[in-house]
Amino acid sequence: MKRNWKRAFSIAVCIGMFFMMYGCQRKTESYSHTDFAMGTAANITLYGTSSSLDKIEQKIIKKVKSIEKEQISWRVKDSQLAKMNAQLLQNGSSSVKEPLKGWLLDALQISQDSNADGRNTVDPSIGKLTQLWDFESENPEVPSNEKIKKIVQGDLSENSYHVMIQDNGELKVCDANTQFDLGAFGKGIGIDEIKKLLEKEEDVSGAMAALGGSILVYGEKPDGEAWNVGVQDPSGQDGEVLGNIKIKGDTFISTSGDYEKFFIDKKTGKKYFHILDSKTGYPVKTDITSCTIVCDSGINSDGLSTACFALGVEKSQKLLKKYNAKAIFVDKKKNVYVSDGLDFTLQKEGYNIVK
Amino acid sequence: MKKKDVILISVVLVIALISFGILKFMQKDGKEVIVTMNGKMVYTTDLREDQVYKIPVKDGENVMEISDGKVRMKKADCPDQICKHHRAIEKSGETIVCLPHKVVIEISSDTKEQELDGITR
Repeated sequence: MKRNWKRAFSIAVCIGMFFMMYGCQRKTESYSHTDFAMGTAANITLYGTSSSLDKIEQKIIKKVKSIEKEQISWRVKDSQLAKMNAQLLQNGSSSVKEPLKGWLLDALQISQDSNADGRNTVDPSIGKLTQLWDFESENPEVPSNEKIKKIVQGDLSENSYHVMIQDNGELKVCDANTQFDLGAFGKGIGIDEIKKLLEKEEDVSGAMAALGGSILVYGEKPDGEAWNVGVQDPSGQDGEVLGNIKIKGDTFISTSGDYEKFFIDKKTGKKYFHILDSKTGYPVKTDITSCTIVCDSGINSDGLSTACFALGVEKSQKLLKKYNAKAIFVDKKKNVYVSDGLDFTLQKEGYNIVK
Repeated sequence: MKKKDVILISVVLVIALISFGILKFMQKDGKEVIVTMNGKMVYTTDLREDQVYKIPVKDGENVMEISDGKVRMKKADCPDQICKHHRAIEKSGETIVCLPHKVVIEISSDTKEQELDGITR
């Protein structure tokens, strides 16, 4: 009799072990989906113990779409930003409420910090210029030199210094040309808001969110390994990577390059890309073809990637230090400059890492 | 513990391992190709099946081709042609996106052996 008990116990232990093995394997679920928001592909991957990861993903996409439509798009007439722009054109003043107010203040700060030689590529108050070029329209064209000059002739390069946002949200501008455009910050704002949403979801243990090429890695991967993010090869096919960065969770990564949005003028065959110099009104002249920023804020990573792309390696250092950000620059001679402390591995041949 | 007990434990363990193996085997180890339009799934297939698939885009054309375990956009009449110029994909988690037509081709797999979590561009 006693022996039978022993046997039964052994069998129970074995069965128990089996279920434990099986249970461990199934514990963390994952869900991945690609949708469209903010004029780009939005790819979200969620890891967690929740059985409704798909619903969380839908909530995230809905939020990103609402930020675009209700707050920051200058194309959507009813958005806060479009209403503000319309009021500015009418009576030179307006008011701005949260959350747009906070985003605008952050963007203006980055703009002022990255202003060099009176040039600026991330000024959110030069919407007139970006609207004139309109790189996202179906058939973009080079605007007439006259039209560009007319917009640039004021002191547009330092326009962001002449925008006043008071505590109560009252907004004043000095230049009658002032229109706002958060294009250089939009995707960064999007991934910042995604992180805030994820923090409320206790069952999500890790996530990757990509709005176009702006990426948030959040929390931990199920296997506990570092997150692994590829950097697009600026002279390769779309999807070909230059190398990869290994990083811990809660990090934001954005890239700006001259290969992202551009058009070729039919008459002259010249290439025009979307990062505009506020001083000349034309695409900025730079040695850099791609700049990737890694830091702890989405709006900073997005804005700084554009600013540092224009500034180049040397002039960006002070800015990177101020924002505690790290960078990977690729120049036209295929030199790659990587900030100290960034775990980057070059994969593509033909490039040269400069120490 | 008697000899018979050891045998019994071994037998049960072996059965457990075999059933575990069968469960593993029953999971699809082949990679799946998933096509979505505007976020909704329209087609799934096996990456090992060579084929040409015309994606049912409303006002335009997108044709996907699978050959030798690689997927590419063979034809597309979108204005930017980015999807057509995207490199052929073969690894878990890789995607080809046609932004103008809101089409996504994605490779997914049950075994999580994804190399990159994302690509910054």
